Amino acid sequence: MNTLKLTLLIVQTFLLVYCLPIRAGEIQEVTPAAMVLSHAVMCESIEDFKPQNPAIVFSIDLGKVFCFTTFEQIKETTHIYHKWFQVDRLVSKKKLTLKPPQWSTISSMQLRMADRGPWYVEITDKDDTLLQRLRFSISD
Amino acid sequence: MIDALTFMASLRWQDFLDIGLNVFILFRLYVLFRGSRLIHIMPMVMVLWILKGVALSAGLVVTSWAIQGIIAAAALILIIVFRDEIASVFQARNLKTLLWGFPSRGDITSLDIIAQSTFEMGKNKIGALMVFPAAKEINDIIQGGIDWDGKLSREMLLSIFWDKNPVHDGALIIKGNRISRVGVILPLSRRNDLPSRYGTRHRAGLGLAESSDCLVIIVSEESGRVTVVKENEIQDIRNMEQLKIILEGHSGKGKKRNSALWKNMFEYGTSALVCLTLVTGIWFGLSRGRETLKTVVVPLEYTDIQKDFEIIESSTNTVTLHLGGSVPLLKSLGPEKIKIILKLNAASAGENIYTVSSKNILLPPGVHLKKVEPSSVTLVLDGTIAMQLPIQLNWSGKLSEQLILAQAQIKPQNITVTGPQKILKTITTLYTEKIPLNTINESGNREVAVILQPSSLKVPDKKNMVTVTYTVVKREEEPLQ
Repeated sequence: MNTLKLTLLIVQTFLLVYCLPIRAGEIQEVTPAAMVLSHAVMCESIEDFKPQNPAIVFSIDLGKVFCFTTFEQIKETTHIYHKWFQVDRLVSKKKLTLKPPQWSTISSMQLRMADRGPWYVEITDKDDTLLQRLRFSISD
Repeated sequence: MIDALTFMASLRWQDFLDIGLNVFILFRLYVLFRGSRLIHIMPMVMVLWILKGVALSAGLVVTSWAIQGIIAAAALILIIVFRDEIASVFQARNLKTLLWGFPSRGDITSLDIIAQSTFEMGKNKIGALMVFPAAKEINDIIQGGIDWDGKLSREMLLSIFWDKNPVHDGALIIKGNRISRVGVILPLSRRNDLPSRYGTRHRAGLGLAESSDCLVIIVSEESGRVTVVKENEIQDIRNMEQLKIILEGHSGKGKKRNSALWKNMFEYGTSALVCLTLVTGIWFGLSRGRETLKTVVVPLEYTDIQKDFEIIESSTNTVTLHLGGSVPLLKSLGPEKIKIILKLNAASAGENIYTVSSKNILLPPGVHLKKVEPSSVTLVLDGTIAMQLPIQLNWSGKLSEQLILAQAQIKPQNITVTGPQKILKTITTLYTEKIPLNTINESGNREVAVILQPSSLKVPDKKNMVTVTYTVVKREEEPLQ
């Protein structure tokens, strides 16, 4: 069962990489030679390992917001970080594992009433090198 | 000695003016009221005033109140009782006399009357013969005449020598400031060397002078010329001053006048010194004697700050000063009259501690520093740098549930900001002002301002506006519940 899920995830990741366009404003800042961050987006939900309704503004009524990232050319099992910042304050740092050759990872943030305002998620590799910064806002 | 010099240095020019003006006013009041009864009562008022102070210092509250009441009532009564004297002082004199004049004594005035009347008679061609006896008795030499014993006055002299007056041809004898006898017949001189213009009146005057130590003034009826005769000496007099000097010399008033002048000068000098001592004493008693304390909160001022350096943090912006000084000085003292200046020319980046002491506090003279709170100020200074920072949009409000704000582009994406190095290093993102979502229905663009916080951050040319181009898509699924 697990093997089937993993195979499905890899296939979906592959499809996402080649089918979804790269959003404007999501410019890759650092591209390490070893692996490539091919897709990073903030979205309202994940369904069937696909980011749903990618956006830059999320209503607090959603209750949750997701950061979806896809990596390629992974040579060995490694890990990355999703660092969630509210304004400039680090709220959460999530360690996510990547496995070769392609891998998609997700992190999410449970929203509270006090979380309105500008946020960003920094995606860094295991050496804390910044790969991309995704900026978004939590609104009413 | 050092204390005395410090004390003298603490005096302001206003203090000297204050004392000087009051000494002058007091001295002028003394000069103007000198000789009047009012001036004799003033020491009593002073005694009452001193008594009031003694009573107050001894804790006799009611007594001091009573004396104060008496002084107030006495001042009112004195003004009412001596209103005529006060009025005469201020009415009869012009401003110059009030400010500078020194009234002359009455005994010198009789010589003025004689000199003035003599020349007035000469001008009007009224013949006159006036005898001023000295030490020798002359009753055996003169003849006739009528006892007069009247007070000397100009009108009296003119009326005696008026040509319709029965006694106008005789001589009159003046002793002191009184006319003792009129219509007196004098012995005639037998001299042959007299000029022809001298008539009987001159011969009579010379006759008496030859046989006595009298001084005789003769006014010629024909020429109006004034002649003075003493012993064998005949002298024509040209003006009143000359006559006055001769009269003073004869009566011994020249010496008396000099001694009177010295006496006056001594009296005025003494009274001026008394006034100075009194006013200085009162001034020091009022302004320096009663020390008090005052607390003033004064803002700090910074000078000589190096270029590209900014104060980013200060432990305090104000300092509380505990000051000592006289009651009137401290009453008029406000924070604007005090300066606390910290020179930052030697400051370095980072934390700098400055001691606030009398060296950097500028106080008005007469006010001294007791305590400073806080006694030191910590300033954090930093150099100014420029840095490019990314901008993040700050959306607010509520977007329509049917819409998704999919993406937005900012132009420019980064702006250059200058500010203190320490602050800028902690900033990773600049945020825009709040952009309302409620008004967004479709894709579009708008200009928004970037908020520069803290306020020490600056944007060159104040270009802190960016253009936002946003894309809105319609939600495919059901709206959120």
